[in-house]
Amino acid sequence: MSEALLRVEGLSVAFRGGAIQAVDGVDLALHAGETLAVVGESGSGKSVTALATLRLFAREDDVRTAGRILFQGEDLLGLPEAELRKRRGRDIGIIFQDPGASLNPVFNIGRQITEVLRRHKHLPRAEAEAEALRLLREVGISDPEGRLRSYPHQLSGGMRQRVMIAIALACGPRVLIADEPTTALDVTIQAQILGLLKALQAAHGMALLFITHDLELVGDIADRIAVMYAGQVVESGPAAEVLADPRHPYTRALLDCRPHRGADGEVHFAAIPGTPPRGVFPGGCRFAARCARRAAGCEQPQPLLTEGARAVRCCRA
Amino acid sequence: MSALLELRGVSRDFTLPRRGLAPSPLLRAVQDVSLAVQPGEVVGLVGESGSGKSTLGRLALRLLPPSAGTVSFAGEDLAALSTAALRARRRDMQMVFQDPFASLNPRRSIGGAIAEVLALHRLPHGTAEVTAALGRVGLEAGDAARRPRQFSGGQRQRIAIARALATQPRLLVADEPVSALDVSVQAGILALLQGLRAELGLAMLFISHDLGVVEAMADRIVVLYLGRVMESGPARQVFGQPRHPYTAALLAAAPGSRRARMTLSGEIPSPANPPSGCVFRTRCPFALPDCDAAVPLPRAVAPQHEKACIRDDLAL
Repeated sequence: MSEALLRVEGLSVAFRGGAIQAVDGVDLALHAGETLAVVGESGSGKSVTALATLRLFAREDDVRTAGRILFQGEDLLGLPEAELRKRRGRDIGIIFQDPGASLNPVFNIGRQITEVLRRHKHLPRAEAEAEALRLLREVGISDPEGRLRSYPHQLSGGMRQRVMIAIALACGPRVLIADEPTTALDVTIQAQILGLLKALQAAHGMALLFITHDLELVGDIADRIAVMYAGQVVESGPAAEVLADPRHPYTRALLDCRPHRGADGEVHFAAIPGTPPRGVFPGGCRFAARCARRAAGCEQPQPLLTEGARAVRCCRA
Repeated sequence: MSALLELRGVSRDFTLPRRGLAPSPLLRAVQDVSLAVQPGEVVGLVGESGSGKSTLGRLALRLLPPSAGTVSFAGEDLAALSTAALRARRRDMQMVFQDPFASLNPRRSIGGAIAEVLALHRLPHGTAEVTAALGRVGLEAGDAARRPRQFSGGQRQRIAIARALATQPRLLVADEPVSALDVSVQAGILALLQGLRAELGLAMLFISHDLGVVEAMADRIVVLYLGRVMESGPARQVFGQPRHPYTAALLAAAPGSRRARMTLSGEIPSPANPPSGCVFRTRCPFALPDCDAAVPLPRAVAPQHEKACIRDDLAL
């Protein structure tokens, strides 16, 4: 396999000086042009993993990180802030769940796109404006000339997410991180944005790190998938294989808990008892307390065992 | 059999703040909606944002008065009831909201919250009644003294359900009751609601944007778009063989759908300025010039199954 474009190695992230563990020893590899979906429920550490990639934490978070995040062989976690700032947006773009919160309400759309182009690509004003117009067209915004002068509150949620994507694409990043980019959107708009992301990825050859809580979305967008639970990757592999034949009981249970029409014509779903642990994790298998297949041995810490393209963290798999 | 809840030609407008000298614009949240919920039946209300589904839920319980049309409960027009009579009626119709964090008073024990509802309706509200209400949703007598923050999101939604069902209502309006919860927790709440429905013979108006969840819960489906009913019918028929282009598009857009892709172009128009004629025509891949002419009326396509679309020549 070719060298990964972005490689996360043994990433651990804790908040409040170590009191709250969010991510614990995560390994991920993202190759050029592929889509890796990181799937997990709230508190699984999926978003913190995405934020750590660009070190997007506030000082008051009192974050402790360990491990390495290699972009083209260079450790982003070790870079000085000024160096990292050059990478953000230029090499690695990011879009978030709530495009309303990510856009500055007091500047018009044109200014927010041209700012990125002028800062990272040092384009003169007129060229930056022409490029902003081209970007708005590329992300499918109608009347782009008019929209350049619109303010965020004048746009719908789907339109704002298109603007965020235009900003993220402005410098032609090699990697786009999308953290729940469609969760706040209506389902017909979600389908539009997913279609747009796929088309842009094919056109630019970007690698896409797609963070989601929705396992059903993954089949539509991802090449590979990593399922996270309580700060760890519990299963990973090619998306189609994991969805068709999940090996970790949590992945299986996540698939079963969504209502689906069975062969008998009835709608089935099965609840997972209990709730995910947050912040402080049990010593053995972290899913054991909710697992239907729990047995002796589950109180031991579970290593992530690799077999071909697949990996699973379960002694019962 | 007479309907438990019946809405006839119900509309609801909201007045938006005026800009300059122009008259105040109207937001037409719900327009000319008729629907019925039979005793013990679960009707699923599906729609995207701006469809009016939450407004409709509040109209059904007369938490909001309609601008036009009538809402009747057990044959009685709710508008004709005095305030006192309406309050007494509320015992039979209760509501569960999306956000279990916002709908519980953080300073009050959950047992106190349930006793309060019972007391309001002049029902016995001692420890035995509170324990019974908690037991119905899988919580224990010992939980009664605890505060909301000591519970997880899923448990809080159980508490909200326990409180809504404490008065033994005949109708429950559930507005996105699982949307704020993790997927692994959602299924537990859905199973609970299904069990309670079977046990108590509860009728439900189940509101959700999530088609999978609605399919699991509902006997009948009403699909809303921009305040109007696009299609209504038995759940199995509507999901298996949608007759309205919007329903078909909604089903195709659902993640993991095996239906042929049918991506709608454009944005959902504003309910303050809905398109003329068929409100869906601006995004409909099958729109004809005639779709602009008049609002299509619901018409039967099969027993109990109606659609508001002028086209009959579509293979969806």
